[in-house]
Amino acid sequence: MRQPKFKNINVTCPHDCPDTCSLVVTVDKTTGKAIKLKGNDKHPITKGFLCNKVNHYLDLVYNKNRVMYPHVRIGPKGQKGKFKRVSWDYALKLIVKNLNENIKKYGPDSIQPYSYSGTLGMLGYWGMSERFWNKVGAARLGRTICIAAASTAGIYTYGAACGPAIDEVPKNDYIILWGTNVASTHVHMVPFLEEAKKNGAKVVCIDPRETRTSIMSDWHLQPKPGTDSALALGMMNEIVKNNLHDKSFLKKHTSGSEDFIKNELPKYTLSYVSKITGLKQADIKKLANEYSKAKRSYIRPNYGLNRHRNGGMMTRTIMLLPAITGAWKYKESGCFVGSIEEMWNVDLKKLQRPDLLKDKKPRSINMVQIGNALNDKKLNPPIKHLFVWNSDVANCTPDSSNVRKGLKRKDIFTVVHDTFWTDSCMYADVVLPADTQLEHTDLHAPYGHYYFSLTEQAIKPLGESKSNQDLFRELAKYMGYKEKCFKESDESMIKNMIDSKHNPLFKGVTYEKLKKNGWVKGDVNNPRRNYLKKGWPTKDKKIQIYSEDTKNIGLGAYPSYTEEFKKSEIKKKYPIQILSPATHQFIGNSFVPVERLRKMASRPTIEVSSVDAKKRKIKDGDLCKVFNDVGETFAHAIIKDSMLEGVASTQKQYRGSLVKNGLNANALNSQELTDMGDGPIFYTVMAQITKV
Amino acid sequence: MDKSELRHWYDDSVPCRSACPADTDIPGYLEAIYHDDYELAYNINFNDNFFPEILGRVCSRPCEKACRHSAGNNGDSVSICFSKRAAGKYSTTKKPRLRNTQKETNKNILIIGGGVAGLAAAAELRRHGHKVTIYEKHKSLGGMLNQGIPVFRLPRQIIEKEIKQIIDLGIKIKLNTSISNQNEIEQLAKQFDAVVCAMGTLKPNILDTQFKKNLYVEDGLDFLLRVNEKNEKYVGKNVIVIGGGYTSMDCARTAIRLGAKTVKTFYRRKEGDLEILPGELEELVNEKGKMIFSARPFNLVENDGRLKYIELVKTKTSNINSKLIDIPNSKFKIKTDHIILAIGQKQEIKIKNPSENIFYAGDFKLGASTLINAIGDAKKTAADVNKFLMKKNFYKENYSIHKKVKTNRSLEKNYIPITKMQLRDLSKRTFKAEVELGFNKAESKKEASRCYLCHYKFEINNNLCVLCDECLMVRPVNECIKEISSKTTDSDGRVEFNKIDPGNSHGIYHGELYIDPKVCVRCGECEKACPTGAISLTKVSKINAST
Ligand SMILES: Cc1cc2nc3c(=O)[nH]c(=O)nc-3n(C[C@H](O)[C@H](O)[C@H](O)COP(=O)(O)OP(=O)(O)OC[C@H]3O[C@@H](n4cnc5c(N)ncnc54)[C@H](O)[C@@H]3O)c2cc1C
Ligand code: SF4
Ligand code: SF4
Ligand code: SF4
Ligand code: SF4
Repeated sequence: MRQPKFKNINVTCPHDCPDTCSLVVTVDKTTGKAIKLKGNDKHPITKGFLCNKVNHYLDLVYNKNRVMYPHVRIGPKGQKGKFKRVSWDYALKLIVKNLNENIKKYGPDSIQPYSYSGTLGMLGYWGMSERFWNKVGAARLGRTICIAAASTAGIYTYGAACGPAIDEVPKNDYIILWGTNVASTHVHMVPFLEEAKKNGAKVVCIDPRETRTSIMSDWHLQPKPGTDSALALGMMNEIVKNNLHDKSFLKKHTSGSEDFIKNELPKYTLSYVSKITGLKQADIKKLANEYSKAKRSYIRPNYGLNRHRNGGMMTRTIMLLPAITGAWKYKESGCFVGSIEEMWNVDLKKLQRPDLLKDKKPRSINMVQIGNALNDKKLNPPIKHLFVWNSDVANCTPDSSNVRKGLKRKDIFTVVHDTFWTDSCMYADVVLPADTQLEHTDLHAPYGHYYFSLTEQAIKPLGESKSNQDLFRELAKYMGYKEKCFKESDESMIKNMIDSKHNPLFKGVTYEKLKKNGWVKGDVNNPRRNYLKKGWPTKDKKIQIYSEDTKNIGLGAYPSYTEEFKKSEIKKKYPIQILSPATHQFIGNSFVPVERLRKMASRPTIEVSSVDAKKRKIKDGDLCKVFNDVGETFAHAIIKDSMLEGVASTQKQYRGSLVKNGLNANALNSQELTDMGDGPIFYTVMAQITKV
Repeated sequence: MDKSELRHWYDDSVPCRSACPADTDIPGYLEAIYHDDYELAYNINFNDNFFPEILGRVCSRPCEKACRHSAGNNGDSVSICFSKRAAGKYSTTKKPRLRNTQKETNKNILIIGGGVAGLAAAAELRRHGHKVTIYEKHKSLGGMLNQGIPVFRLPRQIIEKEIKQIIDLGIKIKLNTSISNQNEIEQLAKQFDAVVCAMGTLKPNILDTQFKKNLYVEDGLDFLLRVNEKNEKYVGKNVIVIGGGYTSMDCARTAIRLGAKTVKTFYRRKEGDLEILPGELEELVNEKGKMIFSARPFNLVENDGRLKYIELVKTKTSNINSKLIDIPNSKFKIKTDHIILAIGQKQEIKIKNPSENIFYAGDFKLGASTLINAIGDAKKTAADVNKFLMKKNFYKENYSIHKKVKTNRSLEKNYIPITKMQLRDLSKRTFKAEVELGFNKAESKKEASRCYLCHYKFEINNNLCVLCDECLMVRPVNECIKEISSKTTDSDGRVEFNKIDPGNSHGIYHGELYIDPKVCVRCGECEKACPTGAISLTKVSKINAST
């Protein structure tokens, strides 16, 4: 019998997206090439379809912009960097030499690793690399750039307990999409929403801007950006006034509700909240009424909210709405900010081996403030070696002109391990080739649902590229590290992570099942997760309406609204608040090399309200300069009647080198931090727009 | 969609029907065949063009040229014509019914000429409720069906059957009744409420007086008439046919069948200028006839009144004014004893300033044309007559939209190759034996299954589209789904759109996806792939119905 020519491999989408899709990759066995990639139609969330990005994944894998071999720089640092191909041996020796020299001269704190979510695989994101840096004793990186405020808010309020995932949505009657453009960034929720609508549910979208998601929804409310906690509090006040709150639930499951209801809520009157949010009083009333009267309700906030200075508090307040109505009583209802706090709960002692640090106590630098750190003359020891992987630091970090200034320093040795020639590569002394998701094995724990998923190597690494895991295994070898943990295989690391003693969601999950099926659902019904019965994983097992934690960091014990801009004068000089939500075409910097997606995105754009455009004589399509005291960027105007006056919306992390002045919207952003979790405040930014 | 938008959508979507002069509901009957409903298929045809089985053999098939299945890289057109023939063969209905027949009006209408135009006008006017009489100068109805087209292309019992179906609608016939001038017509116009002149084009064009005088030079129409209808089957040994249309092909192939040793056909223009049926030239050559292009006759060489040679000269198109010119010094002569001229024909009677109740139809109006053009024109004439008599329009095109439908097709069906018509063995081709043998049931069903069913409408609701590209990934033709930046519908209902220009637009997020009905091959792949239910399917039926 002749061997079949093709084989199908289960792969998992590695990108920073809540959906963590299961993919089926078809490989031509004679050529070893992947020829087809499809969504797994048996996966209950993926449902056989993919997003516009990953549908073009093969164009990403087989892309002429890929870094295929190690390179060293042969010209000055900066946009037009020149490079020469070298061997891995040469590159690794060079890196190791520099590491050793700097450790000796400045101490291990002078070594700064920098990475984020290029892949979200458990091994590729924070496995072998952390073992390596622990052994080195290098400086820590505060990996706060995405979800820190929201995640911290959740932990303060509910402990590390997450709500029902999107596959439960069709069982609800009232669904609020709060600050989330699911059509672009969480697309696998859409079929569940459509199903819910067919069952008669109402879908409400709360978002300052009109999106494809708001268009799909039954009702779109546009509060001013950064005012959502006022809206949630206004709703609560209305609900309590109408006696629609669930008193027995509040009593049994929450702490501090009586004081909160009596002393805090009453000030959030309709007129006060209306003034803050810009919403009509009648709409706030209607929303509160409909929401509290619905039997099964579901709120899906997303991480956009937590990109405001007051983002932690906004998320915390919204998350408390189902505690007021008692929606949590139903296991398919409540609020779902994500599942990461539970799904990513693996035994880090085993995975990352902090014991390798011995008695070293490395300093930590917040990734949001890497610009300052790179330029800080007083930092002791200074950063001498910057090791970047899984991230395009030149584009993803706030205050990017400052970051690029730091990256240009001749006295910092920079290594970039990436799949593509990103803008960051241009500042590197050594560029190392990274692989794609088809080229290695990893375990994935989604942050938008509860299905664990395995990715298996489908094709051989292209060129001389290496996975993150293999890169750090090699580095350990070149550093002469003898510990066995640096030789541990991917398979063994994954098997060791699947530990239901540590995390009840792993109950029933095995490596073998994952290998056979591609994915296995976490044990969501595990009795250890029955928070209604066992209590919430907080200090007093109750939902923290009163929070000691928020009190301790100076935010007050109860949910509240605070204006996100500290000084109101700023709005006079820079009257337009700039949002920079995720684009439909890219995930961070990923996918820019795919021509189809670049074409879909077209060019850097900024949505401007018709009123603001008229005032500035801006016509649709005009190239505009967007600027403030921090920096400037350029984009073509999209004039929208639906946009709120004083608000504009541009693209998150557009590749800087595709913008007129080489910088994206992050050039406008400061390095200040959120109220909780020390995250970035990408959306708390005012600027001026003028026609070029 | 309002009606004018629907009209444009349908015209753009169903190019075969738009190209059919009789507005035959082609996808409607192909779908019926696909569902084994040959009765319905025949009835749809009968109502739209009256001669399904005749047309299913000898129609000039403008629809197939327009068929989407032959556009771009889509392959060969659907065999629309032969499917009609199958509908006739496998339909068991004895008496097809006219839909939308109107109450009797007591208006009397005379039709002069019982060819397809006269008969189609008669049927249509019966549908309108009028009394109809046909005067025909020949001994039988049918016009060129009998008098021109040879039996090996069109068996006579088929003609009889379909003419009888029309007579049975209640039409009075007077055969062997010739009207010879305008005066007579004007007289009749006083006796009847309206007169329709459908006398065809029976007067052959003349080449040259010299040709006219020779006994062995014959007009094609005369030749065909005598062999088909009068049993006078004389033919020369070395026959020369002149012309590049239906008549020349029929004359040449008939001459072969009657025993001519050589038959050579000369046409002054090129192959692409021929006006014949698909496949006819190939069969002429298979039957050992010779076809020579770019040569025109200019002289006869006689001996004692007997034909010896024909002299011809080679032609080319001038690069100055693209007219046909003779190539200098290119004369040549060919031995012959029988020349048949098939160089076109025109009306026998000229009418000037007729009374207002005199109408024209078919070839008599159009000049020598085709069956389906004559039929289509007759339908229009009937509508004009009716409007003149009743002071109102009879027709209203109606569109109905059916929801929750399925095409019952899949993409693989689009790749089924065209079904080849079985032909009679060359050795068995006689004067009477039909050459094309028709599809069997399985073949006809398979052929019908190739039709995309372009009257189905795939549509994207952009309010539900999440721009996931799934549909774009599965589309079998590049431009069926277009990314557009804007779309407008003009006052006439015509859709205009601008494609996204990546260098100069806001990208697809601010645009729309649009299924281009002119390109979509109705495979349904996009609908299957769409995760949000944004792509819907409806079926649009167009029926020309009474008010
Ligand atoms: C040899 C030949 C082959 C052809 N093959 C094809 C083909 O394969 N496909 C195709 O589509 N078309 C073909 N055509 C063209 C087609 O036949 C004509 O376009 C069509 O028949 C025109 O229909 P009609 O009713 O207008 O005219 P006709 O069919 O010519 O009918 C006119 C009728 O009027 C009668 N008549 C004429 N004068 C008078 C009068 N004064 N008083 C009373 N009655 C009168 C005639 O006897 C005749 O019955 C062919 C034509 C010829 C000559
Ligand atoms: S980016 Fe998200 S939606 Fe797209 S394939 Fe990956 S997990 Fe699925
Ligand atoms: S595919 Fe069918 S409906 Fe479409 S043009 Fe051809 S015959 Fe007509
Ligand atoms: S049905 Fe859809 S995929 Fe198929 S041709 Fe039409 S638009 Fe394209
Ligand atoms: S498959 Fe559906 S949702 Fe996806 S792009 Fe096409 S129409 Fe839009």
